[in-house]
Amino acid sequence: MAQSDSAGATPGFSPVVLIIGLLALGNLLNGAWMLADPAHWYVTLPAGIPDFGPLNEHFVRDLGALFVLMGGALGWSVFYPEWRLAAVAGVTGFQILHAVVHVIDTLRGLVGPEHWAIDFPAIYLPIVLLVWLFLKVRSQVR
Amino acid sequence: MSSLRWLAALAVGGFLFASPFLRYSGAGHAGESHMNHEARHGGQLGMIGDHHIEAVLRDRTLEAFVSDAKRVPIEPRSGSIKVDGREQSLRWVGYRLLAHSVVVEGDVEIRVVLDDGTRLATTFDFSDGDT
Repeated sequence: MAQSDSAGATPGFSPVVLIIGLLALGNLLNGAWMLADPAHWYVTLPAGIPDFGPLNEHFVRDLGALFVLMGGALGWSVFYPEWRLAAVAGVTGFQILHAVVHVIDTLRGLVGPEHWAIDFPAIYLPIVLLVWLFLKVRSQVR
Repeated sequence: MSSLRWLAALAVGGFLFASPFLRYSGAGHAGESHMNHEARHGGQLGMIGDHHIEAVLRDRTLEAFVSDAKRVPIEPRSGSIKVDGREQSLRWVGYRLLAHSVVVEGDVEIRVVLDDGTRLATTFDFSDGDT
């Protein structure tokens, strides 16, 4: 069962819980934006979304639902630590697959090579932090 | 040591929170100006000075996508089309200018006024039908 260290899967506020809470908030905001105004999100998000193709409002809302779900799961796990590993694992897994899709689309030329730089801080760098977060939370529940 | 851990957590969490929303000055949206001249919506792309207009005609609905030199989408102040001497207003719907019931068997001139007053106009040839 859970260990006594407060960083991972035990109740109480800790630095790791702070990270998870902020991550939850970011996912919830991004998802809510996609659901509320997909066209505004498509045009305004700085990640160069139009480079990948035309807007499909339905698919943006589908993605928004996923982000709200991820944010909700992370937020839930802030208060219910037994869910923390599953929530962080799910979000980390999604972001890894998401990054692989970006790598493939950039390599095959769907978007220009400038997307290596555009996507690095928003897509690739967070993977490193998320994997660290996952390993940290996992170490707390063992 | 403890406060350092909290600060580090705040930095990591803040970065993970904000990373999708930040504008990175070092990374251009679509690289250098005019590097990308592909039609992204399956239509015809026209270049007017530093701006682009992509026109798509499907099922008598004309869509006009306006973007800057780096293909960043722009919402113009207003827009219209001219077909066979008749002018028809375009209205902004979501992310592009739109006109319904457009009957074209030839050229369509698209006119756009940007927020700063810049006027763009270019002609597209739809004599082969839609798109």
